[in-house]
Amino acid sequence: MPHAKFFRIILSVIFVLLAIFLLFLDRFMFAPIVRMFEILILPISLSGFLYYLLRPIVGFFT
Amino acid sequence: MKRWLAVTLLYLVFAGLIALFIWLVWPTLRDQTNNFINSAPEVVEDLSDQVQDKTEDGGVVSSVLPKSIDLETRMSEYAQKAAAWASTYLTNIISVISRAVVLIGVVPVILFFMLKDGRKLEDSLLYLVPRKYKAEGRAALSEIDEALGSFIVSRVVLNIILGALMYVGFLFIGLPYALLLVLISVVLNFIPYIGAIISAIPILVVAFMESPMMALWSLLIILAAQQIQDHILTPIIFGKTMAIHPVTIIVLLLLGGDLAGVLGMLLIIPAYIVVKILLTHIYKLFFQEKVEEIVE
Repeated sequence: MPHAKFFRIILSVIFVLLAIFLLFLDRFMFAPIVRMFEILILPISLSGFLYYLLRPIVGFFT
Repeated sequence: MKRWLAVTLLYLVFAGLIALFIWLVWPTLRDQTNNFINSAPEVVEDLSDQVQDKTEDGGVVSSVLPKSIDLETRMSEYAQKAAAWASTYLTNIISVISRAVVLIGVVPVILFFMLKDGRKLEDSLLYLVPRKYKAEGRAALSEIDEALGSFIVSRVVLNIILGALMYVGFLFIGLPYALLLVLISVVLNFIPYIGAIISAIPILVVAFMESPMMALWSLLIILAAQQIQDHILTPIIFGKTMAIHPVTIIVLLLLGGDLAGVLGMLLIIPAYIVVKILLTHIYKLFFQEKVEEIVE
């Protein structure tokens, strides 16, 4: 059926938009994830920074 | 040598370097910081006098500055605002200290395992990628790894050279608090373009407090160091790899600053590098052929 693919794409777009709408509607649902991100971002990024800085030296030793 | 042994050895070397820093550099840095904090009111007063003199003598400065400038009142207003801001943040000092302690305790542990098991992280990320696309996923991760590594190492090397150039220049002209100001400048210079401007402000204020001539010399030293960095060192160290258009960088910095302040400005460029590489690979894998078909 030629229209089947078209309807599937339209339906997918509607679901994606609905998901985005729900994401903005229920922010409290994502609050723990955001908080976790806030807690972890600094130590992880600092470790990542030092990792790339020190990796060549570790490579040299090994 | 085993990898864990190499990392442990590196930690020992690092501890030695920190001890050396505390022994050699820290006393000077601490004294300069204490002196700077203690003399802050005098700095404001001196600066006010300097500007007042320059406004009254009818020179170039007087034509730039408004006649009715009341710098002392303005400065005290800013100082009050700064004090209010500081007190708001410092009331939560226990939380700040505990976070710093957690950071100092946690970062070496995470770093140890990252350095020891670096490749395992790549493998565990590849578990999430379907088998069909594993080769492409590995290529993307390697590219990200290489780009981030070269970006971070290059920036650190550039900033250290810039800091050394500025420090030598400031020592030569006898700028007070040179070490402290250069350290602040090196950290802020991790933010492209904007960092250089922000870091120049305290240097020029302190220099202007000494004399306008000192401020001029400081400005010349900053400009010379920046030019050496931009036109000689950057092409040698960075090459043409990961060249990001200046407009893109400015847009990214605005976004990063708005999202997460200074931390956002520091992290936005590496994040952009990661996202750009990932999107390029996804486009090549899923969309390139289809787009070319449509165009043809």
